[in-house]
Amino acid sequence: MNTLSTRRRLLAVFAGGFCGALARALLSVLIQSHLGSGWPYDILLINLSGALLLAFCTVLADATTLLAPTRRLFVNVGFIGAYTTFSSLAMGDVLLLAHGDWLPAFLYLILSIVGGCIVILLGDWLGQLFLQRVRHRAHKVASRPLTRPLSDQSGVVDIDDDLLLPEQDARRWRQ
Amino acid sequence: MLVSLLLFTGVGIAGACGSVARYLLGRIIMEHMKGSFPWGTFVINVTGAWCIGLVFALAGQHVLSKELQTVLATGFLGGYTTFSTMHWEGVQLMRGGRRFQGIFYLIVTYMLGLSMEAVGMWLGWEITR
Repeated sequence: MNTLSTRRRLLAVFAGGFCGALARALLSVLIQSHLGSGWPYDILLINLSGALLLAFCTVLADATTLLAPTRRLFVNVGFIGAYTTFSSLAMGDVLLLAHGDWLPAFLYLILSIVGGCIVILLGDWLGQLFLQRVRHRAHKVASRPLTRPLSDQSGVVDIDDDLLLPEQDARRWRQ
Repeated sequence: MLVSLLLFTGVGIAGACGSVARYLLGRIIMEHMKGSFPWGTFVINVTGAWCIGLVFALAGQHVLSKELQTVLATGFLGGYTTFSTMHWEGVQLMRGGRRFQGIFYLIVTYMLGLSMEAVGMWLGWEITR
């Protein structure tokens, strides 16, 4: 990640943050118009969906599939970081508490804490599943019989170099 | 229509600035802190919660306009604080054999976040009284 220039990194986070904040604001208005603003459905749904997406994207980024370092900054740090929010969550809960709505406030808190952990695990699992699919397909392509005889090809073809899936995804689990 | 378009643009730009602030502050804090506890996100979320309480109280006392409240709270502080990274870090700590540290991290962030939000709100009311 340090090989990227500072300007490029900040620009990626800035652009991602712009889109993420805008997506949250629009989605929040949309959800409130459908479900009302009596209970913070909007922030809960936004946070949980964002956490799911983050876990999924982090698995892909760690396996260097689809998400290169700049894109990782754009998606993970910028977009999803700005899309999800903790400050609005805290404010929504304190406002519920201030109105004496103890049960809704408690429910909101528990759903956020426990639900957040569950969707992270779910997103991680979905990411691993997706990786397995991609790897399976890559192997299928790689094991296709060569149409040209080997003697026609210049140089040595190392099929493993083209898989784009290094053994890095196992590294996370060993740490 | 034009007003809401401007407002959403303002929210987007403020959110982008908040994201950059989170990224820079998070990096600076993590460079100075040793150990596995995610101090960066912790400090960011707690300070962001304090600020949103203050902004809410100031807007309630008509020191800030409703539009400015939306840009600051929904935009900047929404982009600054994060829910997804916090839970990701918590779950990573739990899975990495630091189960209690992970649970402790999440619980303390929530408890301190809510408390600081209330403190910010109280402060906003006090200084405008």
